[in-house]
Amino acid sequence: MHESVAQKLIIKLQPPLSSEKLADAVSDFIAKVADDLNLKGIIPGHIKVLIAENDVYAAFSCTKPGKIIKQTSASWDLAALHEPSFSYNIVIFGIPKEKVINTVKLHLGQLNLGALSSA
Amino acid sequence: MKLLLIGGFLGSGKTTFIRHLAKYLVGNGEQQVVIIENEVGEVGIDDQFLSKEGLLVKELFGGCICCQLTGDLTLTVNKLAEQINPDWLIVETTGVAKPDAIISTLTKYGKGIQNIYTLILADASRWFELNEIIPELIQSQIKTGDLILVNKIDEVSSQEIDNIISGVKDLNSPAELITLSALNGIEESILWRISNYA
Repeated sequence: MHESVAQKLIIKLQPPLSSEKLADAVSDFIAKVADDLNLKGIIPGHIKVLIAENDVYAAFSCTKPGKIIKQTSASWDLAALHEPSFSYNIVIFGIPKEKVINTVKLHLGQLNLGALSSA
Repeated sequence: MKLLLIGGFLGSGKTTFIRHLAKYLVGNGEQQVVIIENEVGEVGIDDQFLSKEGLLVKELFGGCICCQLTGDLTLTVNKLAEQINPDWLIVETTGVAKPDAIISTLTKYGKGIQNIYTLILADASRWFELNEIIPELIQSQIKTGDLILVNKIDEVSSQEIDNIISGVKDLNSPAELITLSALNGIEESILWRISNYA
C-alpha cells in the first residue's frame, strides 16, 4: 500500500533569494525527508519537488538517501526568486501515512524560507 | 494517432525519458505530440515540469488510470483524437499503475488509436530492493512491456546490469530491451529505434 502527500505552496521571499541558496534549502529538505523515509537504503517511492517562478524552474527528485537529481531551466543558475511556487509530491510504499505526513510537516517547518502560503 | 504507454515504478525515470523522446519526435519531422500525465496525489510535479519544457500536456489527477480513472482516461483520449488527432499520444502512468488494465481500457473504448506500444522503465539502481519490497507490482509492470528500458545503468556495476537483464528476461522474454541512463541524455539512434518500434 502506498501513501502520498502533495501540496503547492507560494514562498514569499523578502529579500529575494538566489536560486543557489534556494536549491540548497530545498535539497536539505529533501535529504532530511529521505533519511527518515527509506527502507533497505532506498526510497520505496519518490520524493519530488518543483520550484518555479515564471520561466525559471528547478525540478528535484530523490529515490535514494544522499542522491538528489536536479533538472533546471536555462535561466535558473543566475536567477533571484521573489515569490516562487513550491510544489512537492511524495509517494511512499511500506511506511504508515501518519509517519509520512509528520516527517514532511517537520522538515517543511524547518525550511525557514520566509512566509509559506497555499497556492 | 500512435499511442505510447509509458509505465514503470515511481522515480524510475519515466518523465525524464518522455522529455527526451517528445522533444525528439517534435524536432524530427515536426510531429505533433500530446502527453497525458497521470500522477498520484493532489499536486502533480511531472505535468508542470513537462509543460515548462514547452510540451503539450493534459493532466489527470485524483486517482490512477488503471483502476479509478478509466472513464476519465477514455474521455480524454477520445476528445484528443477528435479535436487534435496528434501524430503521437504519450500516456505516462502513475508509478503504481498496472499497465495491462490501461491497455485493456484503451483497446476496448479508445478511438482514433492506430497502435498501442507499451514501454516500461526498470530502475536499475533500486531493482533488487524493489523486488524484495513490492515484487508483485514491479513484476506485473515488467510483464506488460513491449519494450523494457533498463534505466540508471550508470549507478550499478556491469555484473548487476547482467543480473537485472536476466531478471527482466525471466519475466518477459519476448520484450525488446534497451539499457540507458536517461538523465545523462539518450542517443538519437535509440530514440529513432523506439519511434520506429511503435
